[in-house]
Amino acid sequence: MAILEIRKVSKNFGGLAALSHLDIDMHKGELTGLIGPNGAGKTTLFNVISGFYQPTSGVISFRSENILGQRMDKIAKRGIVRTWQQTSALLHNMTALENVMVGHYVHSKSGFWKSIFNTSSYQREDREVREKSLDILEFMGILSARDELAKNLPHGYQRSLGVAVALAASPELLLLDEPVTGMNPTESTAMMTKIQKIIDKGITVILVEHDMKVVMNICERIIVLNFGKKIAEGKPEEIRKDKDVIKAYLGTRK
Amino acid sequence: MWVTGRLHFGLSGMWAVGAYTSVLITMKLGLSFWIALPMAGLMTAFVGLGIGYLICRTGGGTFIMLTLAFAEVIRLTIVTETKYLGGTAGIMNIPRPNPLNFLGYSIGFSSKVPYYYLILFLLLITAFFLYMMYNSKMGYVFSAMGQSDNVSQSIGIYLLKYRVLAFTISSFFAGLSGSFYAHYLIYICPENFTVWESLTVEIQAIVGGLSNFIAGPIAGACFLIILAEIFRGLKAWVPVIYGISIIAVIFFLPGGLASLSRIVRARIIRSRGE
Repeated sequence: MAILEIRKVSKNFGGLAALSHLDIDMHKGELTGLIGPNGAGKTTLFNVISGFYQPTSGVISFRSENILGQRMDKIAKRGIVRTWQQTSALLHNMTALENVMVGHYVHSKSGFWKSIFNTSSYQREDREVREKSLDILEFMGILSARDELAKNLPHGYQRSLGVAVALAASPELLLLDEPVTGMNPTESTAMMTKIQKIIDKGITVILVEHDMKVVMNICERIIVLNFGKKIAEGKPEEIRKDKDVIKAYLGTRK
Repeated sequence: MWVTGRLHFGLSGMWAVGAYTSVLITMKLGLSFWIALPMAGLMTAFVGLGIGYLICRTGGGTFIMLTLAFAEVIRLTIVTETKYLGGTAGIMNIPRPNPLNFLGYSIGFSSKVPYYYLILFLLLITAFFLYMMYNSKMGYVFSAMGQSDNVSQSIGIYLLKYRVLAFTISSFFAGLSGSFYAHYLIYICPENFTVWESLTVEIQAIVGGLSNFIAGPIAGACFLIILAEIFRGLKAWVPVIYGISIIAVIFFLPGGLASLSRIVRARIIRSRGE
């Protein structure tokens, strides 16, 4: 039983078909890589799944429930959480710890008045949120930066923090948009280990990434998009040999 | 509410709603000011809820223009409605607050002093409420929205809901201050509620510093009002003075006056370290 089913999803921008008739199944606990040349529709697909865009046609169901046309925050609460590429990935004027705490707060139960008047049940919840957030920072290996403002962190830390914020929102399906882009090799190896550990926690992950080494190393399955169409799907070694994929990336010999 | 990353130019409209609600309650229904004050706050919050629900789904410039339009609609409604709202001529002889009986003492509102303590009390309540909110998860959620719509939504914040909430809360306090204003001046007319009044508040907030949303507006208001008093003889130049101060703050002190204390503290620590 697939956790996420995408059926015949298309997204047009004016006359341009950014996605056309995509069918994708995601199974629980799976790590899938989504690759393709620039403009292939990878980020558009993330935007459609997370509710940031409404698809032009098609059906998307998550745990057998239709999520098409729902608001982004509702989809997030159902358990599909995404990260963002560089520019808008973080809350820049908050500390690393506060970034993660915001992710938790959305799921905490105390209402408006309880939180304002600082009741004891709210205080207990607040302590729990703080502890859990520290755990997540530690898990991502950035605990030392907890009191730094997000905008002052080095690039690699910012990317890790982006993932930490998403984890705080307790996802079942995590959409990672270029998590290792711009990282040095040590950082990117560390991030690969983290992603493996996220999978071990039972979270399903889709990964968009340009760094082929990362994708080929850790993904069990790879989906290749080109011009909004799925041109290949399979194990890394199959994808590496696939004629269409080679053609899409390198062009044909004249 | 500045925290959520939006400028709101409709405050004068909210004051007007608060002021006229309170005046109608005391003059037509004959109830006491002490009932009218919270009622004016609630009524304005209610109006804020409705208006906020409609206009908070827009962003950026559109939102600002709509708040501006709202304030003007309210003002023009008052201008044209002569039967209950007094039209351009305004409403005179608004009753002063009834004397408060407190431990056998009676505090009347015939001099300015009791008004001072009343507004101080309202200010403290407002500041206390905002302080509690700022330090609770609401504060985090509001400032998250001010920084990135995308991140906020992707972790499950329903932007519209919290924007409307912020709008309603700001309307409540604007309503309270409108009510106070009416019973302090004992005469109100549409001229008291022009968009210039909203602009003044925004300028005070920016000069004071948007990063600290309690100390900032208070510092900005004190500074600009004192400045305006010093140049009292040159009344026509007050907008120019405001203009100059806002430019100066943006150039030399982007964090506003409220950030001065932090800068000074940092200097002191540095000079001690050396």
